[in-house]
Amino acid sequence: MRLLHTLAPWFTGVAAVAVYLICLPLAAIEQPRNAQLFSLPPKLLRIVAFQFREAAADISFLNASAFLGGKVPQNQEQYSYFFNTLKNAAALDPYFLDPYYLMNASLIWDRYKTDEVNDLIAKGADKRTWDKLLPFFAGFNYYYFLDDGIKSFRYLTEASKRSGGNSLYDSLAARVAYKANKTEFAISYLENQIQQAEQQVEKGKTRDLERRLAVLKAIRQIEIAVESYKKLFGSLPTSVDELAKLQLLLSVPSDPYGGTFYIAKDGAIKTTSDMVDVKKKNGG
Amino acid sequence: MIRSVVWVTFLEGVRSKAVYGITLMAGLMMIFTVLFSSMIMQDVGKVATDLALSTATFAALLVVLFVGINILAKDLERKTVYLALSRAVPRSRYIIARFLGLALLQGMIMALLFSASLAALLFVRQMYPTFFGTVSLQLVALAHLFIFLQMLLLTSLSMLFALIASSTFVTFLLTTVTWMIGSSTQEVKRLVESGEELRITYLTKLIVKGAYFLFPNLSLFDLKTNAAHGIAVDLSHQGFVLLYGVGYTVAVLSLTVIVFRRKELN
Amino acid sequence: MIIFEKVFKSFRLEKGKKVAAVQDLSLSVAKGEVFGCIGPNGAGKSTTIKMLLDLIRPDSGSINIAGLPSTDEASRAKVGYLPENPYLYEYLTAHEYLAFAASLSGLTSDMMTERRSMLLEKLKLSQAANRRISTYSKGMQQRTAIAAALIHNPELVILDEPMSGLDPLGRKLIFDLIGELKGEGKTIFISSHVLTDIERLCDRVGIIVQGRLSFEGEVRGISCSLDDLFLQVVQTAGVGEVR
Repeated sequence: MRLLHTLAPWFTGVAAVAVYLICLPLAAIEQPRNAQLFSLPPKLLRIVAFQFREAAADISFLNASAFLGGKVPQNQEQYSYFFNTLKNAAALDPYFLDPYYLMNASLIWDRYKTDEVNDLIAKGADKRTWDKLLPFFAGFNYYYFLDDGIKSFRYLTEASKRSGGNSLYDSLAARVAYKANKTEFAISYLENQIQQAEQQVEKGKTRDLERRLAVLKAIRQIEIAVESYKKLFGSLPTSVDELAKLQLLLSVPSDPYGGTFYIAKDGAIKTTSDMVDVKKKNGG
Repeated sequence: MIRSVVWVTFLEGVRSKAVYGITLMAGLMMIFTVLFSSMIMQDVGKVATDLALSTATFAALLVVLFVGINILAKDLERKTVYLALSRAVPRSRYIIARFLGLALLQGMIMALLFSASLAALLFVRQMYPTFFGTVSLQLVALAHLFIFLQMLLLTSLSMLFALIASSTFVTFLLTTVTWMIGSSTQEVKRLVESGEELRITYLTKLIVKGAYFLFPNLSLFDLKTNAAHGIAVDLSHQGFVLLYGVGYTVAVLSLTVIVFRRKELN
Repeated sequence: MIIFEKVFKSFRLEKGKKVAAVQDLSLSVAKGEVFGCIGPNGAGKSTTIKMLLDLIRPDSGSINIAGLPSTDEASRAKVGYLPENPYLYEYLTAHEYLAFAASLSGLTSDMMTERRSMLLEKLKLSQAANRRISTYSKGMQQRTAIAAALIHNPELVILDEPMSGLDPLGRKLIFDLIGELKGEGKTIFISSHVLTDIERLCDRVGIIVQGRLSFEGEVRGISCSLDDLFLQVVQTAGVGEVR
C-alpha cells in the first residue's frame, strides 16, 4: 500500500508526459512558412541585431543552406525563401562570403532574379576588397546572363588585379571587350570552375558543373554548324535535325538536362530544358 | 583605503553565483562556436571569430548587468555603504574605488573569455586550415580589449543610473536600453542622413543627431569584422576611439561623483 | 564633543506632503559622557544620528563633532557607528569584514590583527570568524557590526539600537562592553528602546518627540522611573498615534 502511494506521482507524471507527446503532433497545425527567416526589412534588422549582426548573418546563412538539405529549390516559394534569407545574411554582414557563394552556385544558373542576385554578388566583391572569387563570378554573370559588357569587363579585370594577374580572367575580360561568342566564354569559365572544384575535392559540385559544360559544348557544336550553314545558304536552318542531315553536325547532340535543342528566331541556340532539370520544372 | 574597497568589490563579484553562471554559459557557447563553424562551407574562420567575439560581448554585458549593477545597487539599498561612509572616507574616493573594483572584475572575466576565444579559434584553425581565411589573431586580441573598454564605459553609466534610479530593476532597464541605443546609434544616424526614406522629418533627424552625441557610440568599439577578415585597423583612428571612450567614461564618473556627494543616504 | 545647533530637517513624502523629521534641535554631548536618546518610533532619533554622520544633510543649523563640522569627513575619523538593523557584506567572513572596516579607518595591519582578535574574543565570535556572514544568526551579525564599530578604537561611539536581535546572553555581553567603554573614557551616544539599560548606563538622557527635544537632563536627577517620565513627556507633547 505504501509502495503504491510513493509510486503514484511518478506513474502519473510518466503517463502525463506520454499523453502530451502523443497529442502534440496531432494538435500542431502546419503553419505556412514565412517568406524568409527574419521577416524584418534588412535595414531594420541591422539595427535590432545591435552588436550581434555578424552572428545573426551566420545563423541566417545556415538556415538557408540547411533549408535545401543539398537539394535544389523546387518551387517559387522555396526560391523566394532561400533568396530572401541569403539576402538578409548579406545585409547583416556584407563581408560574409558564403551567402554570395551559395547564391552564385544555386540561383544564377536557374535564372532566378538574375539581375538582383548578381548585383548583390557585385556588392560583395566591392566590400570584400581582398576577394578574388566574387569579382570573377560577378564579371562572368554580367556578360553571360545580363549582357552588360561594361560591368563584366570591370569586374573581370578587378578579379585579375586582385589575383596579381590571372591569365584566365584576363582572357575572359578580353573576350568581353570584343564581344566574343558567349558560349565559348562560358565554356572557359566552367572548365576553370571544374578544375577549382576538383582541387577542393567537391565531388558533387563537379557533377553539376560537368553537366553544364556538356550542354554548352553541345550548344557550341550546333552554333558552329549554324555558322557553316549560314555561309553556304545565307539563311538560318529550320531545325537541328536539318544540320545533322546535311552532315554539318556529326549527330544531334543530346541535352544532359533532358530537353531538345532548337534554333530560335534570332539565331540563338536554345533548349527546351533551358538548362534546368526537366523533372524539376514539371514540379517533380 | 581605496585598495581595500577595490578588492572587496572584486571579491563580491568573484564570490557571486552569477559569475559562475556566466562563465559556464560562455564556455558552452565557445564549444558551440566550434560546432557551428564546422557547418559553414567557405568562411569558416570568419564565422568562428564572429561567434567567439559575440559570446565575449554577451558575457561581458551580462557581467555588467547582473553582477556590477547588483553590487552597487545592493550596497545602496541595504545601506552597507554606511560601513565606509560613517568613517573618514570621502564619498568621491569610495565611488571611484567601487568602479575600479568592477573594472578589475571585468578585466579578469575578459582575460578568461579571451583565452577561451583563442582556444576555440586555434581548434577551428587546426580542423579547417584551408578555410580559416584571413582571420587575424592579433586583431582578435585587440577586439577583446575594445570590448573591455566598452564595458567599462557601460559600467560607469550603470553606476550613475544606480544612484538616480528608484530600484535595481530600473537601473537594469536603463543600462540595457542605453546599451541597445549605443549599439545602434551610428547605424540609425547613417540611415537617417542618407536621405533614402523621404518620410523622415527634420525633427526626427535632429533627435537622432542629438541621441548620437548624448548616448555613447558603442559600435566604434566593435572590431569583429576587422578581426574576422584581418582588415587592419588604422592606429590613429583607434587612438581616437580610445580617447572617446576614456573621455566619456571620465565625464560620466565625474557626474557620478557629484551626484553621490549630494545624495541623501536615508 | 557633539554639538547640534538649531538643526532642522524635513522630508518630502511621495504625495508631495512635507514631514518635519527634526525641528529646532539644539543638543550637546560632552567628552566622556554617555548620552541616551529615547523617543517613540519615528520621532527622529535615527535621522538625528544620520545627520551627525553626514549621511543626510540638515536643511539648516550646524552640527559639530570635536570642533569639526559634520560635513568634513575628518570629523568621523574617530567615530564608530552601529546602524539600526545593520546589513553586512554577507559574502565576507567576520575576519575579512573587520579587516575591511579597519582598513577603511586607516589602521595598520599589525594594529588591526591585535584589535580584531581581541574583539572577536570579547564578542564571542572567534569560532565563527572564518565562516561567511551569510551563515550567521541575527545575533551574531549584530555582534559583528558592533565589533566593526569598535575596531579602530574610536573616541566617539554611536550605537543605534545596540540590543536589537540579541538574546539575553548577548545583551549582557553588550551591556558590559558599554560599561567598559565608559570606563575607558569614551563618549557614547546610545539610541534605544530598552529604557532600563539607558537608566543604568547613561549620564544624561534626551527625549525626542515628533522631532523636538522635549526633555533633556541628568539621569540622576530624574525622580520617577524613566518609563514614567517617557510616558509623561510623550503625553504632554500630544502624540496621537502609536507608530
